[in-house]
Amino acid sequence: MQQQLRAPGWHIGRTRGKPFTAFGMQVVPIGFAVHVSWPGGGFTWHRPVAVEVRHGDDVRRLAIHDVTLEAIVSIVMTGIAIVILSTSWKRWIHTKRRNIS
Amino acid sequence: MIDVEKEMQPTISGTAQVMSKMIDVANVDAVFGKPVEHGETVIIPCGEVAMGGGMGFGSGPGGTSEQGKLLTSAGGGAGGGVNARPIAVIVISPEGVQVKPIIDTTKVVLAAFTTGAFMLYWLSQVGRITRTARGKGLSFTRLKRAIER
Repeated sequence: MQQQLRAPGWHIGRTRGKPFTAFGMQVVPIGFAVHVSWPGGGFTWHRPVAVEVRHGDDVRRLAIHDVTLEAIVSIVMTGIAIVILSTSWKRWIHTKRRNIS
Repeated sequence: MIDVEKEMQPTISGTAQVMSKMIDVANVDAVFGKPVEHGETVIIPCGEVAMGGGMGFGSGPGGTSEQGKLLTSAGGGAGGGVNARPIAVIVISPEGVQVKPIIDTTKVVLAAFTTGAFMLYWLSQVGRITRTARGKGLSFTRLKRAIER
């Protein structure tokens, strides 16, 4: 992981953490990283994506959702949709009235 | 100028190393925290980490000394930022593994207020324009007519 992040240039991809075992289950954290480096600087963005749970032969993958981001995006998209729809509706009403008069 | 840059080289490389190390800190261990055991459950916190930084260095002529020697001046700067926020906690218990999301209410409320304010402003502007076009408010056509009279 460290070696991947230290590579010069850029790196985009999945990362896997150290497996953790508890109650007979092995949990492997999976992340998604974007790393860009240039001479004298760089940028890294890393977020968790899922956890892989191994219980015997059974392997399950539990997704990690960013609920805060999803809520903010929903609110903003709803607001934009309301604005566009109401503007179009008002314009339509106005055109209709102008045509009648 | 070259001498100044040579003298500054250890400082520059040191700063670059610090910057590089700072950015490398955002590995999987930073995203998934250390497991915390609490009774019969194990909790693993996980969050998003974003880090960025940069540095620059420059040198140039710095005038002349009292003895008439040409002087050089050099300067540099570095800056960076870190953003980390919790996203979810992984709860491991004998019953199984659960991912419980964390919601940042403050951010969501702020986004809702901002969107609401933008919507109100936009809709009021649209309403004003429509009223003006219908002749109920101020318009350039009405102003022109008033001047002509």
